[in-house]
Parts: sequence; C-alpha cells; structure tokens
Amino acid sequence: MFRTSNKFILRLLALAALVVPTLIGCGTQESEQEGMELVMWHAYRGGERAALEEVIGSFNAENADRGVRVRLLAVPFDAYADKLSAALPQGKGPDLFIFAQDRLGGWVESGKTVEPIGFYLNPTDHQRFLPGMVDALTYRGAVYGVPLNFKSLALIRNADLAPTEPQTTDELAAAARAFMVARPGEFGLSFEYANPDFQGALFNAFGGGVVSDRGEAILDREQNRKAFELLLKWRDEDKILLPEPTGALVLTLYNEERTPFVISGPWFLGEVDPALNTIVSPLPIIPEADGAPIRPWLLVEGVFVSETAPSSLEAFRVAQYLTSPEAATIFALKGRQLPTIKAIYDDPRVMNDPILSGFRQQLESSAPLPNIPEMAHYWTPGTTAMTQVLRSGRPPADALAEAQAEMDRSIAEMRRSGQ
Amino acid sequence: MSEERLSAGTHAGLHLILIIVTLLTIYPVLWVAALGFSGRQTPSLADLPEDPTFWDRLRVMIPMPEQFSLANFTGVFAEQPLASWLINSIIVSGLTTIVGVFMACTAAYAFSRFKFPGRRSGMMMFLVSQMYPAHLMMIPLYIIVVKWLGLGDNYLGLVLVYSVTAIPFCVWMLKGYFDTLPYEIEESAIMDGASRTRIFYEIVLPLARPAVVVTALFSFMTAWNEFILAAIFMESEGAYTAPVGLRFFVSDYAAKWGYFAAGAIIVSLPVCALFFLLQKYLVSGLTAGGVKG
Amino acid sequence: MTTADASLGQSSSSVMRSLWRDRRIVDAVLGVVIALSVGLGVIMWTARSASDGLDTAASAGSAIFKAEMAALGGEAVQNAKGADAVGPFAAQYKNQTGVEALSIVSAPDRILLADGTGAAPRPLGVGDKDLYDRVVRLAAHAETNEIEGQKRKPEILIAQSDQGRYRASAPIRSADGDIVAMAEVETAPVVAGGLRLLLWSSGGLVFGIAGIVFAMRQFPGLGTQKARAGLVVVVSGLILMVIALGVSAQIAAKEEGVLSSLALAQENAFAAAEAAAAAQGVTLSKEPSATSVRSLQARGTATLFRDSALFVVAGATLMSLFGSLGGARRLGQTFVAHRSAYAYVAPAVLGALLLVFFPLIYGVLMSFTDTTLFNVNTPIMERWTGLSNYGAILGDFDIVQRTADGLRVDYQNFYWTVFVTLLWTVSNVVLGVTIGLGLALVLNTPGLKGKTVYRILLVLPWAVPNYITALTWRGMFHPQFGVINQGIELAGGERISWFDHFGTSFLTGLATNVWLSFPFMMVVSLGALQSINRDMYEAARLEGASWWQQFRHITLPSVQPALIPSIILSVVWTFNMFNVIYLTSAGEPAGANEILITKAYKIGFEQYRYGYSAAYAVIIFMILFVYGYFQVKATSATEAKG
Repeated sequence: MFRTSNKFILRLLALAALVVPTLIGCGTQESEQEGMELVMWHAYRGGERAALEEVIGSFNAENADRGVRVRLLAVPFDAYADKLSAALPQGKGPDLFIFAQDRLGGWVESGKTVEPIGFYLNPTDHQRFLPGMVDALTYRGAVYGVPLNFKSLALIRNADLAPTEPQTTDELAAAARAFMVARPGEFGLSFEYANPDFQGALFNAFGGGVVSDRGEAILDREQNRKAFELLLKWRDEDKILLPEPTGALVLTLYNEERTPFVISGPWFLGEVDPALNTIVSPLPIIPEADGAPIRPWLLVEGVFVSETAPSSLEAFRVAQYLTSPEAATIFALKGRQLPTIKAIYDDPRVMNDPILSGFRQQLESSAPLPNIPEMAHYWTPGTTAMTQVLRSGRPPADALAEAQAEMDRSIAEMRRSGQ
Repeated sequence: MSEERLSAGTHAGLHLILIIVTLLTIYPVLWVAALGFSGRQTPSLADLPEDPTFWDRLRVMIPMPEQFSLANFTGVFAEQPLASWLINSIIVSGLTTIVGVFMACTAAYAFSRFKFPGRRSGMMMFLVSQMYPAHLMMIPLYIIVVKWLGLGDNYLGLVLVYSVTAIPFCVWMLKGYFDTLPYEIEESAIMDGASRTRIFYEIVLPLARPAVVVTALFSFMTAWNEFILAAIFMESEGAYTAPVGLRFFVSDYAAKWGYFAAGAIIVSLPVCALFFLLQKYLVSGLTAGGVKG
Repeated sequence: MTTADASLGQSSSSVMRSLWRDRRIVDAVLGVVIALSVGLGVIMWTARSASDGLDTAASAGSAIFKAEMAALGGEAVQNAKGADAVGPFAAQYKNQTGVEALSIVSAPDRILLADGTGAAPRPLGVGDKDLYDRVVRLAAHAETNEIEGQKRKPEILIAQSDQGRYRASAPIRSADGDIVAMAEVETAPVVAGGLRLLLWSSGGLVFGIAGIVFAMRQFPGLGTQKARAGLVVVVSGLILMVIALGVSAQIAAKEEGVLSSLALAQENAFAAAEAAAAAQGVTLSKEPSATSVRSLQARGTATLFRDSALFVVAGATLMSLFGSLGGARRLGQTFVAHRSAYAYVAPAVLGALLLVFFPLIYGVLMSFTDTTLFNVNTPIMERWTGLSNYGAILGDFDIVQRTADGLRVDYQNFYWTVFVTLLWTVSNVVLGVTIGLGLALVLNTPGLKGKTVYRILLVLPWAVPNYITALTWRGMFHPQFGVINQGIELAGGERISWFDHFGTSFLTGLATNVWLSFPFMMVVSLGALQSINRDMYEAARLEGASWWQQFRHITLPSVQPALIPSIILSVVWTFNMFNVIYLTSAGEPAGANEILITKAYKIGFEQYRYGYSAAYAVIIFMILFVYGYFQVKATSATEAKG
C-alpha cells in the first residue's frame, strides 16, 4: 500500500492542498453583496416551513433595493433548544429566531440572549394583536418578541361520529359513553392525559395552576386536587379514557374513525386524514368547577431578536413584516397556523374554516403558559406526580404535596445561585 | 492439524442455533427495511383487523410490507436535501478517517516501539479520556472549537473532535497489533541505514494492514454516527450531516416512521457496505495476541 | 565579594560554560528561576488585577454616586415643580459635577426630560432605544428583588462604554413608587494610581539568580544536594516574601485612597444636587445614600491580595525544589533524548489534551460552582461553592420513603440512579460477553460451513448507527403497534406496557444495547480463539478431558488477555451509553430508568443547573476511573501469576 513513501506523501499533501482550503471556505457564508444579511432560525417543517419561506421570499424581494435580506436556517426540533442555548450566550447565534414563550424568562435572566423590542412597539402596534399575545412575550415589563402565531389545545371531533358540540363536560362524557355503547371496545375521549402539558388545562379550569406570577409554586392546592379527581373520574367511573394514551395512538384511532373526541392542538391536525369531517371547538365548561371552561395553556410563538443582531431595528422590521395581514394570510391558509393579528380573523377564508375558527374561539378561554424561569422546574416533578396518581394510584393530595416540595426546593436553589 | 470432526448431528445442531440467532439479529434491520418500503408512516407493517386471527397476527410480524412502495424514499429526498447531507457526511467521515488513522498509527507505533518515560501513563490517559461523559462536554467543546479556534460552521472543527474521540480505542488496538509484529524486520532495516519514517511507512504499516483497516473503519463510524455536535456546530442547512437531517423526521409530536425508516436505511447503507467489504480484516485486526494493554 | 563580582561581570563564554557544566549550580539556578518566575508571575498578575479592580471601583463608584444624586434631585424636582423644571436642574447639576453626559428619561411617555443642556423635554427618537430599555430594566430588577426578597439584581446599572467611559443609571420613582424614569450619567474613568510592578519583579528575578550563583561560587563545598536545595528555598522564599509584602503595601495604600475618594465623591455629588435643586426652589432632604461605599467591592482588596500572595509565596517556594533537586534538568534531558518518540506521539496527545482534557478541567471547575442559567456570565469566583454540589448529590440518602400506601422508591435519588446504572452495565456486559463468546465458540468450530455468511450477518448490529437502533427498538416496543407486543399476543399472552414500569422499561434498554454490543465481543473473541494452539486441545482430548474441562482450562485462560481490555472498554462505553437510554425508553417511567449520564444531561440542559450537572459528570468519571484502576491492577496481577 505504501510502497514508495515519498510519492505517497507528496500525493497526500497535494490532496490536502486541494481539499483543506475548500473546507475552510465552504460553510462560511461570504456575502458578496453589500448591505445587511440577517440570519433567522426556525424549526418548522412541511406546510409551515413552506409558508415561512414564501413570506421571507417576498420580504427579500421587496427589500432588495435597500440591501437587506434574510437567510433562513431550519433546525431539527430536537436540537433546536440546545443549539440556541449553546450559541446565543457565546454571541454566535442567529439574528432572529422563532420560538415559543416558555424559555423566555430563562433567556433574559441568563443575559446576552434576547433583545427587548418594546421600544419599537407603539400603541397602534399593540392594538393590532389579539389580547394577551404581546403579554405572553413580555417578561418583567419588557417585551421581547413580536407574536407570530398561537397554539393551544382544543376539542377536536369527528363530526360524523359526534354531530353535536358538547357545551359541558357532562355532555362530553355522555356523548363519549354513547359512542362506546354503540361501538364496544372503542374509547370515547382520546388524549394524552398523562402528559403534563395537558394537565395544565384542568388545573387552570379549577382555578389552580402551577406557578404564581411571583414565581412561587402553587401545585399543592385544593383546586389542582379537584382537577386530578375529575380526570380519575373520567378514567375509572365513566371509563371513557384510553388506558395507555400516546400521541401516535390517539392519531391512529382518530384517523381510523375509532374515536370521536380528541383533545389536542394544531400540530395534531397536520397528520389528520383530510377526508374526515373534522371540527374544532372550544373545550367545554366544567360544572364541578362552577361552570368554568377548561383552560388550556396558550403557547405564543414569537419572533425574537438576539442581542448580537447588527441592527435591532431592521430585525424588528422583519418581525413586523411577518405579522402583516398579507403574511398572516399565507401562514393561516398555507401553514395552517393561527396568526396573532386581529385583522386576519375578518377574512372569510379564515373564519369559515372550521379548524382555524375553532382554535380562535378557544383563545377566549385559554391561559398563557407562564414564561418565567421558575416554570421550568415544574415539568419533572409534575410528570412524577401524574405518573404516581395515574399508575400507582397515589392520592392526588400526597402527590401534589411532594411535587410542590420538590419545586420549592429547586426554585430556592436557583435563586440562591444568582447571588 | 488433524482433529476429530464433530458429528454431523452436532453440526446440524450448531447450525440451528446459528440460524435462530442470526434471524433474531437481523430482524430489526429487516423490520426497518420493510417499514421504509411500505409507503406508510405508522410503525405498524399492516393493520390488524377487528378480531385478529393467529395468521393475521403473524402477518403483521413478518417484515414484509403490505405493498411495496418507494414513496417514502422519494419523499425523503424531496422534502429535505438528503443527498447533500449524505455527501457532507461522507466528506466529514472521510477526513476523520484520514486524520484519525494518522494520529492513531503514529502514536501507537511510538507506544509500541519506543521506550520513553510516560509510556504507561500515556496509554492509561487514553483509556481515561474515554471515561468522561462526552455528551456533557458539549458546551466546553463549543467554546473551544467555535469560539477559540473559530472552526464553527466548518468541517475541520467536527473532524478534529471526531478524530480525537476515536483515537483512544484505535491506539489501544493498534499498539496491541504492533506488539505482535516481530521486531527483527525493523532491526535489520535500521542496520541497513533506513530512517524510522521509511520503516514506519514502508514496512510496519503494510504489515499491520488489518489493524489499520479496523482503525479506519472505526474512525469512519464514529464520525458517521454522531449527531448532537454536528447539529450544534453547523450554521447553514446545506452543511448539515446525515444524522442531523434524519432527526427532522422524528420530531416532537407525530413521528413519521416511514420517512425515518427510509432515511435510516439510506444512512446505514454506506457503513454496512464498508463493513461487508472489509469484514475479512475485522477478525484479524482485532486479534493477534489481543488488544493487550 | 570581589572575585564573584569580577567573574559575574566578565560573562565571558568560558565562564558561562564552566557554570553550565557545574550541575550543582545549574540545579540551584533552575530552582530559583522556577520559584521566582512562578511566584512573581502570579503575584504580579494578581496585583495587576487587584489594582485594576480598585480603578474600576473608583470609577464605577464615582459614576454611581453621581447618578444616584441626579436621580434623587430629579425626582424631587419633578414631583414638586413639574417636568419642565428638570432640564434646568440637570444642566446645573452637570456643570457642577463635571460629568461628561447626563440624561433623564421617562419611560411610559417616552420623553427625554433632560439632556444636561437645559433644553426643554423632547420625545425619544429611534436612536434612544437603549435609554428606554435601561429604564425598563431598572424596573425589572427592582421587581425581581422585591419578589425574591433578596438583592440579586443590581438596582443601579453600571457599564463601561466603548470609549472607556463609565455609565451609571439610577431609578426615579413616581408618586406611586413605581420606577418610571431614570437618571443616567457618563463619567471619565478614574485612575487611582499605578503600581511599580515591573521594577519590583525584574529586580527580584535578577537579584535572586545573582544571589544564588554568588552563593554557590562562594561556598563550593556546600554539603549535600538537600542542603543546597534548602538554601534555594530560603533565598527564593525571602525574596518573594519581601516583594509580596511590598506590593501588598502599595495596594493597601491605593485602597485607602480609593475609599476616601469615594466618600468624598458621594458628599460632593449630594452637595451639587442640593444646590441645583435649591436653584429650582426645591429642598432635598438629607437622606443617606442607598448605596454604601462598602458595597462597591473595594474594601478588602488589599487583605485578600496579601493572603493569597503569601499562599502563592509558599507554593512557589516549594516548587523550587523541583529545580534544585535536579528534576527540571532531568526532564529536559529526557525530552531531548526521546524527542522522536515524543514527536510521534505529539499529534494524538495534543488533540486529546485540547479536546478532551480541557473540557474535563472545565467540567471539574464548573462542578465547584453553582452555575445555572442565571449566573453563567458572572466571574467564576462569585459562583464558587466548593464541595456543596457533591455534598448534595452524595448526601441524599432518601431512596425509599414510607408513605400511606407502603414503601415507595424516589426515582430522582442519586443512589437509585447509581444502582440502575450498575445494574445496566453489569447485565449488558455479562450478556454481551456471554453471547459474543458463545457465538464465537460456535463459529470457531472447525469445518463449519457458511462461517463467513453468518459472521457478516451477525456483525450487522455494530454497523447500524446506534441512534437508529435506539429509535427502531423504541418502535418495536411500542405498546400498541410494536412487533414485540404483537408477538406476545401471537403466543397468546397479554400486551405489556413496556414503558410504564421500571422492570419492563429496563428490559427494553437491555435488549437494545445487547443487540448492539454483542458483535464487538464476538469479533474480539473470535480473534482470540483463533490464536489458540489447537494442539493443546488435542493433548487434552487424548487425556480424556471433557468439553467443559477443555473450555475452563484452555480456552478461558487463553482468551482472557484479549477479552479483558475489551471488557474494560465495553464497561466504560455502556456506563456512558446515552443514546440507548435517552431515545429508547427516555427514562420512563418518570425517570426511574435513567442512568447517571442521562440524568446529568437532563439536569444540565433541561433544568439549566450546569454546576450540579458537572458534579454528576465528575462523579461518573471517578467511578469509572476507580473501576478501571482496580481492574487493570487485578488483570496484571493474574497475568503475572498465570
């Protein structure tokens, strides 16, 4: 193999001389044109991604004469948060990025990540958006993102199997049971109730919750206990719930028309068989909670500007463009997303869409997911508590008390470290 | 080498064991392949009817799709630039192989042939370096490679990290192999006046071909399979490697199992092909008096 | 004195050569050089940063007081006389205090109340975004401190601009007590006096070397090497001590100066504000400043420096022994003697040092801090907590709790995770080795047909990327659609919810990992088996040994040397096998199935507790290190015997 060593070394060097410069050059973007290039990250796929690319394409076309253009980078969802956490504090991340509000508090506290853009928003801008959208992206009085779209859970039903919209949870349970009588072996209400994301909806309905505005854990409350009891009633007494809820299973059952009611969000609909007669409606009210509706958590996806962007004003203008009525129409109709501006919901194409209008109605009774850093301490103890109650049969009061203690402890530790 | 042949019955028994184990071993691979060719997105090869019979259940388990379809494969290439990702992976893995083999061979040769202070501790150091959990080194590696060395968004950074990850195992193995090569050949070459470098390239390396091949294969695999660092370092989509791209299909909510399976097959093929081509070196490379310390 | 001076003064080549050849002098000089360069280097570096720290404290403090008083006056003037009076107040204040710039900004109505020139208030323009943001940030900090009940966030912002000016922003509260505005000043930096460091350090070095050479020449028969080393210690220790105390005194003097100048600055700023407010017809109540001079991190600098300097002196002096006892010289000789070997080894070692050991050291350092998302950008000394992370991890003995419904295991507990990890590692390696060795034995049967085909197919799991494997097996174990459950139903059993209970969830990971790791063991075993001399078996068979006896006494001992290193590697890889656990079972149910590395990852990247997670990583490392050490020792012991 290496008979004549000199020739071999020479050849290797020649190869290296060719390859190495190419490597160093490739990957790095040399912008030959003058002007500003803003890099924007997102984790969209499929229709959402196509919509975003179309909107950014028109932005670039319209701003070509000013020399401002946006370059998109799609990141796999699994790596998205890690990539941001690694890159932003080192000053190497994007100029703009799209993300939900759940990590906002943490980013602001760690510093050197997101830039406040409240200064650029004037009162008319605030009026453009649906109520609560800008607030979701506000942390300690400063607005950090321009709201792009929102998501929450809602009641998704197959109108062929369940023609009437249930107004209360009793009606929902009755309709589910009726279905199960007609089709033995199937389940009337399918949703991932073991997932803590879903649990918040019930907590909020009963007036409980996870964290207060001041960042205290409020798990160990009577209201949360009642929420668990309602869930257990559905599973054990009414027996309308799936024994092993997973996302894939819910999807399959719905697509095979083996379940009429599903509680899920817009992401679910991307996988649903379009031939089915699907209608989205707000989650029903709970008589046991004094007639309060189920209040799912509202996730608002915003366009954030990073502190290292060359011009926060230009970046803000991009964000504004993405929330213009024209862009919102594309996002709604092509991306099947729910834009945050009021104007879009006057468009008949949007309001007559049974899916988009359903989620829009749900907005009235959803509660924003807290964006404070203390919220991040909920997920692990919360999941543990749920598993204990649902699988091991532990009394809800005990499970909640323990989860509360765990949250208190880790929040105190986090705060101590900041000194 | 006369030896009593085992009876035909024993042979048959051994074959039976081997066949069962082999079938169990390749079943998951066949399953993924069937899923990829099924054209569907659920992790189920066929739908169970309402009241499945024994034969229905068996049918679902056999790794053959209900109908053959290339939809998943075309979809995978169309939805994402899988082709360019594959090329990126090949480039990165290829370079890792070159760099890794170079670093490992030179170091192992020194450990084997030269007696110098720090030899024993050097070998131990390589073993020890494997012990610190690599997954938790993400942030410092990012700081070192991207910030200090400025090699982010540039394959060199990844290549460096992957080579260094693969070295310890390769050095251990190569050294063991070098140890079994008789020193007399090199001794006579030295007495004839050949330089160390010439001896290394023209005599020792060819003799150690099986072990070098295994080293190359191992380096290639380490680079080919790595996901998280590639995702974090690269700044443009065209520069992603194949594992990063594959993660697009298995996302947070509903997993597209069909696309994942098709992508998995495509991503696994090059490494499997290499394994097949080089399999005769595998055994001899990892042996010969063993991976001795 | 004269002869020595003469010889030193000559510095002719013959003298130097004779000095060099005298090993005793070389060793002594090396000792002194090592001690002095390390000691002086560290002392001077620390002194420089202490001095800079005092400069910063002086500048920042001055700016802070000026801003604070501007805010005090501005608030009073606005509440008493309205917004229009703020401009003139600010102009007079600026003149009197001599600040470079002054702005008073109100946030809700976005107005610049004063820019120091006395002009009327004007609305904020696009370029004033930073001003607005700072007011909002001040309000946020005050709110955070109030909620958390601690002063975690600074209530007056201080930063240094690109031109080196110091910018301080102090809050102004409305009548309701909310922070709605701020007063911001920019001041030029203050240099509180320099230290003569270079003079001291170079003087010390020269003096030390000269002194030692002189001593060696004067007293050639100075007994043993140990005595000489002792002399070096004394000499370098004395020199370093003198220098350290001298520099320390300078720093103390500087500190005094800074503290008194800060107190004066505070008084002057208040006087200026009082006068400017009075000119607008407002009296300021003489409130003590909210910011105490003490809190500006100047006090204590000198003491801290002196203590650490003495520590450094002790350490550096001890390091001289490395030189004076000949260690340095011998190291150099070794290096030169084996330079070709080191050249061969250099690329790999450099790569490992940079990309493995630096992150490792980073991780170790991080584990002694309580770094979280909140404080990742603060200087490391402020985050130092010593061993408290380790104490928290190792001291948590609440594994099992007694509750109303019986005993329950706390799955987040460290020791439970250790148990799971050990169980995971042992079962995987045992199964992998058994299956691998077993298959190798079968494949090694002479005359077996189709060996190559089997070998190719059985090696396949090793070729497939392991995250693909993990996800594939996750799919196969899917409770509803997975083939495993369907196979169970085929056999007439009940479907199992694999990820709902610890035992079954553990089995999923075990199956996956054994599948992926047995080929490696098989190939290694095959290689080892093929190198065994067949004649030994022949001889044993003739003596009537059964198959099992042949296995125990011939096969096993022969493959052991090859297997052991592979087993060590396999143990290490399995212990840290992230992908399989994370992707296949994701630690279900509720973290019961996590191993140490996945738990550390979750703590670090999902809860952002980087310091705690780093401590976990170091513990993982220590466990493996101890295992590896004892395993290698045990192996060499048996090899020596056998």
